[in-house]
Amino acid sequence: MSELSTTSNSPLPIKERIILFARNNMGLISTLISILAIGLALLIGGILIAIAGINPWEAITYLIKGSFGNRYGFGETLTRFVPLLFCSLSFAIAHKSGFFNVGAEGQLLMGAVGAVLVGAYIDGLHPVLHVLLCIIAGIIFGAVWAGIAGFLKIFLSSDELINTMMLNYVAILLVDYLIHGPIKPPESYLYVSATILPSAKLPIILSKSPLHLGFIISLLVTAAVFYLIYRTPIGYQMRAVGANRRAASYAGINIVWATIVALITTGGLAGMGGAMELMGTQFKIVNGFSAGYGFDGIGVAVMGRYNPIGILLAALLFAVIRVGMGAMQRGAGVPFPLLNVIQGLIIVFVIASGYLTNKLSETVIGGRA
Amino acid sequence: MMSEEIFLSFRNIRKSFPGVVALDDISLDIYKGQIHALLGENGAGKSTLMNVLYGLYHQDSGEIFLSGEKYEHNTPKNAIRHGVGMIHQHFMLIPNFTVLENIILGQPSPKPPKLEKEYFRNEILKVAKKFGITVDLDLLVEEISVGMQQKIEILKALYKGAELLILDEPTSVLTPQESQELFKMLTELNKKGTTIIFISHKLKEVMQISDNISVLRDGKLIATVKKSETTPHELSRLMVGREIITQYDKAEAKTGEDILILDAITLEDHHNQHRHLLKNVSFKVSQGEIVGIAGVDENGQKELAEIISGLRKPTSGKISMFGKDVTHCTTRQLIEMGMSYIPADRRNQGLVLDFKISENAILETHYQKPFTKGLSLQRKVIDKFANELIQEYDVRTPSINVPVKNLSGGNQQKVIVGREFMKKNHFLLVMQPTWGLDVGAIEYVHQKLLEAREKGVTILLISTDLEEVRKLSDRILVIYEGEIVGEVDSSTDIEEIGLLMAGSHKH
Ligand SMILES: Nc1ncnc2c1ncn2[C@@H]1O[C@H](COP(=O)(O)OP(=O)(O)OP(=O)(O)O)[C@@H](O)[C@H]1O
Ligand SMILES: [Mg+2]
Repeated sequence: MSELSTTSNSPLPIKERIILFARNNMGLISTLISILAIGLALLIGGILIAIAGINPWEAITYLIKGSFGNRYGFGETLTRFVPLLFCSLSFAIAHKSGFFNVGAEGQLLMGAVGAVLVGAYIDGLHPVLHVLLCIIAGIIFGAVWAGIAGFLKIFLSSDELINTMMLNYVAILLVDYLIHGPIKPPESYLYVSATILPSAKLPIILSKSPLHLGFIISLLVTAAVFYLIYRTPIGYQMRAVGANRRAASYAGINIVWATIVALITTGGLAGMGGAMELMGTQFKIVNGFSAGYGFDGIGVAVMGRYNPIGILLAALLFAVIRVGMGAMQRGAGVPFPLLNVIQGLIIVFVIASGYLTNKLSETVIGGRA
Repeated sequence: MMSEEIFLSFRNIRKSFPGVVALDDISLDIYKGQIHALLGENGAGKSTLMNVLYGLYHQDSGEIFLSGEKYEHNTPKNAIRHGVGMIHQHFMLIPNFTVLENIILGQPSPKPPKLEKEYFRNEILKVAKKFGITVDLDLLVEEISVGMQQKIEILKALYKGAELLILDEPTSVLTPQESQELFKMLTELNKKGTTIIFISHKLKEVMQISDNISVLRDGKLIATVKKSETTPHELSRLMVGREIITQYDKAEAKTGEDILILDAITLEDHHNQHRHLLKNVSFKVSQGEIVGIAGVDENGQKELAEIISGLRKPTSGKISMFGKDVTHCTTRQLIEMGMSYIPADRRNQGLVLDFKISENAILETHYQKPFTKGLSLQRKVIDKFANELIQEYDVRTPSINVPVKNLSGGNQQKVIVGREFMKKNHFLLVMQPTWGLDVGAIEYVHQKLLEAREKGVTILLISTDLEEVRKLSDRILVIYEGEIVGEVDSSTDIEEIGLLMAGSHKH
């Protein structure tokens, strides 16, 4: 088995040189392809906007200006980024552990419920302690919500995809019920929950913008999550169980335990995302508290190809689109359904580009395994 | 039968993977109507060459000619159209479909949208009759033996019009009897004009059925010889580049106390309470001896291993290990007590295929020192360990960061063997430890087992390879339908053990 020489002086044929270059720069190439895909999706979106009779340049200007063209928009984008990031981390870690969790939406809502209970009804705590307790409550509620699906999977081996999906609807209806009575402040004539106390609110970190401490926390949590999964024994076990349950059990790994930890982490992350959104942005639960973060989180994780940098970038992209599109609608009058179409295009194109990169690296490396 | 017409020829085929040249300028002719064997060490490039032909990989350079015409655009579909059929080592049948349904899967119906099963049935039976294959098309695949499944794979290829059959290590999953049946069938097909490429590590088999033999080493074609002009000895020298020891000098076993004691282990079938997978199994293995369990596949060996390793609990009975009752211990507890287990099915039980070599090297020990310190896995320590493993056990790979799924079959096995041997162990439970290994590597693993025995390690060897069991064991237990039906010593005549394995005690 001779070493493949990559430094030979004799000029290689052009095709082999391209292949060699590609082989050594797969990361760069896949990033370029993703950017190209986004550009292409925007181009098609622009054409659709033009067909709708609106100047696409104007629309794009609003998209950019609205999302990071000024201090407020920039802050808003990064604020949106927070729950998206939590939900995509939640999906990604479940995926690595062989568990299909499409229930982040419900887990996020339940996390917000947990945080509101602690944040609104426990008084007289030091702010640091109060914030911490709210976050912990959010994690626990989210984890329990995921745990129900996990319990059904482990002990009744019923399909977690259906379970987590159904639990989303249960959570949405449950929250609706709660804000119609049990946690509605008696004096309020709106259907909302009680507002959390000032001591439970996350501080603003960029003045004259909505950007709150949750942003920093979310970045730290991302680092922690990937440390957990790639650098710790339990993370190793979760991945082993996800990749081959049987081999993991033959090696003495406790499958049930690894699955439970995975469930706590996936549900806890989504729940924490809900707590952050509540404590930093909305302060109370209203109908439609989550703008579909749980579902967008799946797209973010897939787009980010389950790796940390990819997920951060994809979450940022989604946040830009979400905020910028609001601006497009308000400023340029682009109709909302069209905006959804454009967002969908971007997702589809980026995911398709992922497959393209896969194919490409297969050809470059020389075929399927 | 020996025509001089070339059916297939490879011209200067080159194929590299990152860091490895898997095929290095291979030129080879396969004559029509012959059985051509490919021999070579683990990782020599045999499977890769066949995968290039079948279109699973593309060569970097070089050409392929089929019946004199240049064959381009190699894809599996195109290969089938050109009469190339491949029997993969891991079968691609769907367990809960019938044989018939499996064969017609993906075939266009003559009258869509109707399936026209009856039409297909007749067509398939015609092909089966022509080649003298008897099958029951209505059985579910999960109900039939592995040998039968292989027959179905072959019939499927023939039905699709294969004139060239490629079999990649077909006998490694078969019992000796099934292998003989396969050879009969292959010879029969060959007489009817089918060209066959046969990959195997077993020289005996190669000498039995092939006309021509090509030997690959490190991606290069070393030689092509006629069967009639060579000997197993010469072949193994060509393959490995040195002489192979096949007979070992074993010192008398210095046995100590009883390490493993099974006491009346019984296991009932989940689905059928009246059927026993294991029936009243009792035996002891003492320190420093190798006890072999011989038997035809599917006679309870798998269940026995699962029970001893704590993966499954017996319905009744008691197990003790190192003087402790371990009937209710978990696998991890047993591993920590010093048990090592090499399971039979490396792809599903022994390895996480998507994990890197380094990650697989620590599958059982990752949480222990020095691999984990405090909260974190110690990447440097792990990498150093994995590098030692691939050096010591001669795993052919460019780096420890390669996912094990990209290793050749034999090299995957070496990763498992290395992992289990490098761990601190007092009791080794090994099942088919040399499955898919080349002669050199088999010798190496056997030596390692004997070395361990010298050091006082207790070994229970479960294998369907009777010669392996005889060569290594101090005592042999024969298992038949979940019962231990006899104990013999390793000098016992092979025929006699064979009879016990076939259940002769019952008659
Ligand atoms: N998809 C792949 N990616 C990277 N390397 C590969 C891949 N497939 C094969 N190889 C490498 O190519 C070489 C030849 O492998 P191949 O599977 O052809 O060996 P083999 O002769 O069939 O061995 P065995 O007897 O163990 O099955 C090996 O070094 C292997 O690691
Ligand atoms: Mg092979």
